[in-house]
Amino acid sequence: MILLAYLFNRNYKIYEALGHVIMKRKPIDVPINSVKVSQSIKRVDGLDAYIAQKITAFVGFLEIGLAAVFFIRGLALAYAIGLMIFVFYLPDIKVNEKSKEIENLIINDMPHVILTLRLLLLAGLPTTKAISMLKNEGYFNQLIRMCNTKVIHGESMSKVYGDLSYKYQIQHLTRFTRIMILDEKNGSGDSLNQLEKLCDDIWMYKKSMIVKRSEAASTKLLLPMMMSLIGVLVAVTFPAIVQLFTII
Amino acid sequence: MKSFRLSIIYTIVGGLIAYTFYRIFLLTLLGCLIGFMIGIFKKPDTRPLLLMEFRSMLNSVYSELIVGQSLRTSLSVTLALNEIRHKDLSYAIVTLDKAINHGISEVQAWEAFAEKIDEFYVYQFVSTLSATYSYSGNVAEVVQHSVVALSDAIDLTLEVDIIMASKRMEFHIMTLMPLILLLILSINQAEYMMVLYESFIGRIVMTCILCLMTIAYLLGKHLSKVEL
Repeated sequence: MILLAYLFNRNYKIYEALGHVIMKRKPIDVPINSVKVSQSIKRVDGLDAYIAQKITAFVGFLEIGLAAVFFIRGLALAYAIGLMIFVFYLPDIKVNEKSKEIENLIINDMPHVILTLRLLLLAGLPTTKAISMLKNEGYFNQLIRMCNTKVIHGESMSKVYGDLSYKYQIQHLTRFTRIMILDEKNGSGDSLNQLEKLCDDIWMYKKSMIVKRSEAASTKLLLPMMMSLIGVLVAVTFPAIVQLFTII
Repeated sequence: MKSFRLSIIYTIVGGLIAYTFYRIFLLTLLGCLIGFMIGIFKKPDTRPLLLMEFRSMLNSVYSELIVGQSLRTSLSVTLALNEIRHKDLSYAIVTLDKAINHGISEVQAWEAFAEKIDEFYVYQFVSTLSATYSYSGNVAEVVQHSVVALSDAIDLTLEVDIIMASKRMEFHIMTLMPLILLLILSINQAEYMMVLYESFIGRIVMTCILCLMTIAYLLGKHLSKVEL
């Protein structure tokens, strides 16, 4: 049974098919908005990969469970159960981490892109032209350039930016998309001031986040400090121990 | 000069580590040599200085623009009145001024300047400038606004850099303290600590402690990296 499960574990295609069966949906071209999934999966944009990973994790869960039932006794059984739960939730942890990483990438890139955009708007460029002139290689820049391409190809600006805001659900990104939507209706005059305020807010947010993380890092630094102190302690006690043994 | 100063500091630290742990002349010399090599190959971070100099240059250009000078004249006046300490920036500005005075188009000259400096904010300024030349006539006004926006952004970037630099400093002091403690003990209580330097087991213990401290340093360096 375990051998069968192990062989099954290697076949990604079977999982993909199984995933489609479980989700009761067509294999391709299903918009992510139509399926009820968590915010993290929406951000990561990898529903198929997530389902495949989840099924793999479930098989791993069964494998460990079977091994635990047949071969493990006593306290080790508790460890096995812990491992089973960890394996089952591993894809979720991975997806959440990836989602957080994407959020950080967006927040990190936003002030620079908005500053450039604002300067280009100030120079008299129309919004779509200004976005297409952005040369930054960051994640946020790629996102808005993708949206801009859709707008140039005839899609409504409010729909494109509304979808972007819905997909990522990041406060600052939502504000940006609102400014872009209002820019289409009212022109770039107001957008300049709003972009400036948004840029300032993101900088402040970024600064506060860095302060928080550096505080957290200070706490974590206790571990290497302890390691160094242990080294000093060993160096101090070693001669004493040697002398003690010499006397004895 | 800064790189030389850095390599001297690394030489002293390398020598001290080797002396504290082994007290062998050849190994101390080797520690000094390794420290010196690390100091030579490690490039000092000149980005904050570059940003500060670029910001002061922009502000100087801005103050000339306010009184009604053209961008070209503002740049020449800035160059004449200010001393720029960053070598690359200074060289690039002189080249830019010469290029503009020799009749090369301003956009081309500024783009060459941005390529030489290779800094995000310089690129931003130049891209705005080239867009202004292509799409709008009022260069002075746009440059004035850009200068204010870029100065603010550079200020904030430097503030964030300072927060991170203070944390890095804190970490370096925390790492060096046990080492200094060990050095003081080995000098102050030389007779007591002699076992560590003379017996075979003592040497092994010191090597283990050195490994432990190196691991602690690398771990601390990894943990103290603050990124958003």
